[in-house]
Amino acid sequence: MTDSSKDIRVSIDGLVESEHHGEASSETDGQSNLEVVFYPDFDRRRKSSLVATNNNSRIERSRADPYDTNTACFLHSLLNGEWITSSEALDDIPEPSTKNEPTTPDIVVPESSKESVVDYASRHTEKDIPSDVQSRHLTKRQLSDMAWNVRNLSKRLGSLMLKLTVKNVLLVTKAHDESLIGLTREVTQWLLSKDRDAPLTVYVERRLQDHPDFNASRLIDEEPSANGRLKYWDSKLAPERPHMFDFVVTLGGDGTVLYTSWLFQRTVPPVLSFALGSLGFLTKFDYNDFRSTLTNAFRDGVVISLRLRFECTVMRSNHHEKCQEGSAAKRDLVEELIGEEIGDRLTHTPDKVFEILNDVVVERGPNPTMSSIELFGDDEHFTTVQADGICISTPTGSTAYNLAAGGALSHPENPVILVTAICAHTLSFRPIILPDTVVLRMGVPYDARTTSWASFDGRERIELQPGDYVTVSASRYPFAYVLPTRRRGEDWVHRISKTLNWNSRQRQKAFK
Amino acid sequence: MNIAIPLLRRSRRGTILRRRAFSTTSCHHQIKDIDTLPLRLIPKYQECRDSDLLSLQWPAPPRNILLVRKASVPALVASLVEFIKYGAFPGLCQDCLTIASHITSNYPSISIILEPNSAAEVHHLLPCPVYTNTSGTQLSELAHDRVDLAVTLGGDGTILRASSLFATCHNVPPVLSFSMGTLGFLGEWKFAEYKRAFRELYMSGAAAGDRTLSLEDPKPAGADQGAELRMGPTGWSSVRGKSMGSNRGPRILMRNRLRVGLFSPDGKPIDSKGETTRPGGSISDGRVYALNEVLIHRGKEPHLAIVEVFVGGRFLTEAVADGIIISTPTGSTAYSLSSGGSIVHPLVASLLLTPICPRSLSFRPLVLPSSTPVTLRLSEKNRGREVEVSIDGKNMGQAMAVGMEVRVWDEEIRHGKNDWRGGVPCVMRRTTGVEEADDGWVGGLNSLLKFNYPFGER
Repeated sequence: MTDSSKDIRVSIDGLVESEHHGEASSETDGQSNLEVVFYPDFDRRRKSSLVATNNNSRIERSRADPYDTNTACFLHSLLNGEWITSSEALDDIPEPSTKNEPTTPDIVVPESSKESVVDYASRHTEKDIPSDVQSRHLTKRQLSDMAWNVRNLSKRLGSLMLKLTVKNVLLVTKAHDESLIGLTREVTQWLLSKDRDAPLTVYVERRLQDHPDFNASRLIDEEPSANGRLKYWDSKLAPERPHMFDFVVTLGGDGTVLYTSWLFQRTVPPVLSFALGSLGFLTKFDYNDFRSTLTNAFRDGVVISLRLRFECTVMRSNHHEKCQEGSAAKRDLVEELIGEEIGDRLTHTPDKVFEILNDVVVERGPNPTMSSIELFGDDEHFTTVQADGICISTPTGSTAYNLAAGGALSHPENPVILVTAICAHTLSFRPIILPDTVVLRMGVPYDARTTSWASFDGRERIELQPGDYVTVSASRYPFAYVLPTRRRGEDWVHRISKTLNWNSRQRQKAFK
Repeated sequence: MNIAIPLLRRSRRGTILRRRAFSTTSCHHQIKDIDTLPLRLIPKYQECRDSDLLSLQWPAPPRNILLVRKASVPALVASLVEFIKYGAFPGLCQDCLTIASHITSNYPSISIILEPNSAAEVHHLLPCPVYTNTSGTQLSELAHDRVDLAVTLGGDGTILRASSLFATCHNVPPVLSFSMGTLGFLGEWKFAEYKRAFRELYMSGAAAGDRTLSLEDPKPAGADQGAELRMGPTGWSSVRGKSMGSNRGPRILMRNRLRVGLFSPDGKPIDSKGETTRPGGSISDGRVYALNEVLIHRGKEPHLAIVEVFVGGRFLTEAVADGIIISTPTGSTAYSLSSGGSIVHPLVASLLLTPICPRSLSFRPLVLPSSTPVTLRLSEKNRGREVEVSIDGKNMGQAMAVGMEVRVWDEEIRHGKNDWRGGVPCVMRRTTGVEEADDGWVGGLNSLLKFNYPFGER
């Protein structure tokens, strides 16, 4: 395969990553003709995904991610530690089983005068994370690095018992279900009891504060030491101060776990889910054993598994005030997203960012006509989908809307993104499965007949005007949840058999 | 709207005659009310020996022609501006004008009926009045009694729109469709062939009343002069020499529709205004006909719809899905296709039941006999939510609440050997030089759907 007439120059930037990847190898100096080329501009960020900073300086990505003081979650410190290129990093990640508090890597990162989109969040050193967000779209290399690290970490965590120091517990119960208030009370009471190894602060939903069935005052009367340790959360507290909670316990079904993921739009504390009724995919523990389950969890430690989440950014098209001569300048979304960039004008602005655990769906909403959606992957225009909508799903969400739309069922540990069309008007659309390092974009073309609607995990339905698009990529904040120690695996196939009746049929009798 | 803009009036030869001010008074007498037209003629349909399709016989030449064009976006003002700037009406309006002019100049005593906005745009360019509904009543209600023939200019969507005008009419007039672009499924003619298409259809049945009229003999027979006189100057004699004979007439595909009704939990029919009415009687008795499909959909609600499905009176299953479609064979290539339903030829009398994104691994679309009535009932498990009901892509206006039922029957179209009433009679295209009328279905399958497209690059 060597071509002696040409010498392909190698420009390996940050080659040390290849040791982690174990993939593209660097040919040593001995072999001169076959060399490896990395695309030199894979650090480059397209204008359509840039954010104008305040001082209007040239936007450039800094190579290292400084330690984010706002993400003091233990797991994320591990993730952060891995990201730094080896020239500045520690030799190895800290051994997790021996530490019980967040590590502070001894890294000095040169303060960069130039800003990047990624660093925006870490500039805020105050405790509250701002609720308005900027696009945190990572470059391809950062994404590959991150995905690799998460996968690596997940593998290691799967075989470890992590002993966490738990002081603050968040309790999430299925919403609108009055019958569960009694059960919530039982768990709260148990957690607040002085019999626990260490005094815990328990946060329950604000609406329970005055609820007669919950009877908070009686709880305190029965257990005086609990005074001051029973607190309340609402849907603002969790997203603003995720680092206040060390542990989350959910009571309900998969929907409750999904809601918990929604509450934590950045780091997520480890989540332990109790199933109250039917078998779910994310609820691994039976409520009836909650006392022993929680005792063992606090005393011996937990096995944590990481589930991929997506980070979805809604990008709004900037309206150009001046129209060119003749008819209004026809804008083309394909050109704007992957074509040549002309001029300095930013074509889009980020509007909102969401972390999702299941899926993001762009569909026709209340419009009677089909929606037209342009689909892009990295720098490629995949196709124009004319359908009711598109569903981009995580492996966790493969049993949700993706299943209904005809997509494949994916084991949750697969590092993939599933793309399925909802009622496509062609005979030849097959659902496709992409690696989790791909950055997908779904946009409404400028000449679309109607607007489309985007929904994230079934919530926050947002209308997308012609020219707007949604970027979907693997999130740097995976969802960490607790697995039962006895059954190490996910027992996923068992769950789909039971809940979905997967491949169930009367068995054919043998001939004899 | 009153716009004092000078307008150029063109004669049939295209020369500019004189400038005329655009004033409201002269507008009005060019647009007449559809009510003033004579009642429609009901044609007869017969089976043909040489084809699966039917032939059509007019008892007398058709007089009231409805022209339906593709729903256009530009407002009236924009069209006028275009006209003044470029000296011509854009695209579709021009085609509409071409056909209307051709018909009115070559066929006597024909009245052109247009939808109100088309009438406003086009009337002053025609040398004769146009008809539309000038009173408050919907065109669809008035059209049932007055329209002899509907001509559509546009794609499948326009044909559907024209058919929707007759959605509450039991006896639909023949539909002659012209495609402005790609040929679709519904057997449209190419626009370039409009003269031939219209002539064939107009003359269809002329030979039945006059035995000697044929290509070979242009003179009328003396024996039938009495019949001609009875017909008066509007008879086919005035277009003598253009008949092609009865066995060269157009072929008609009678498309089955579905009869749909929305019923309250206690069994009373509900009309589009949401009121329960007594069954039978007027148009608004809850009976609507669907040419493509009737569908129930959760709409903008994020929750799935839970629907009980009854087939032939018996409970089939409880569907948890985004929605359910009950489709005709004509509609099998529309939404039903997108949802995974089978593709069914329009001559196969059947009814398709297709779920939209069902929450199940095992809900396959069903094909039922057309005689099977189907009922869809919104289950109480929906917790007080409502779902949308759409017929042929148009929301019925009345949402479906818990306990309500959508009942679907086949439209009975054949009442005797040659007694066809009901269905949408579509005039199938014939390409020049080809004897047989083709039903357009295979062409549509290949060109529009790329059916069984081979792998590899062409």
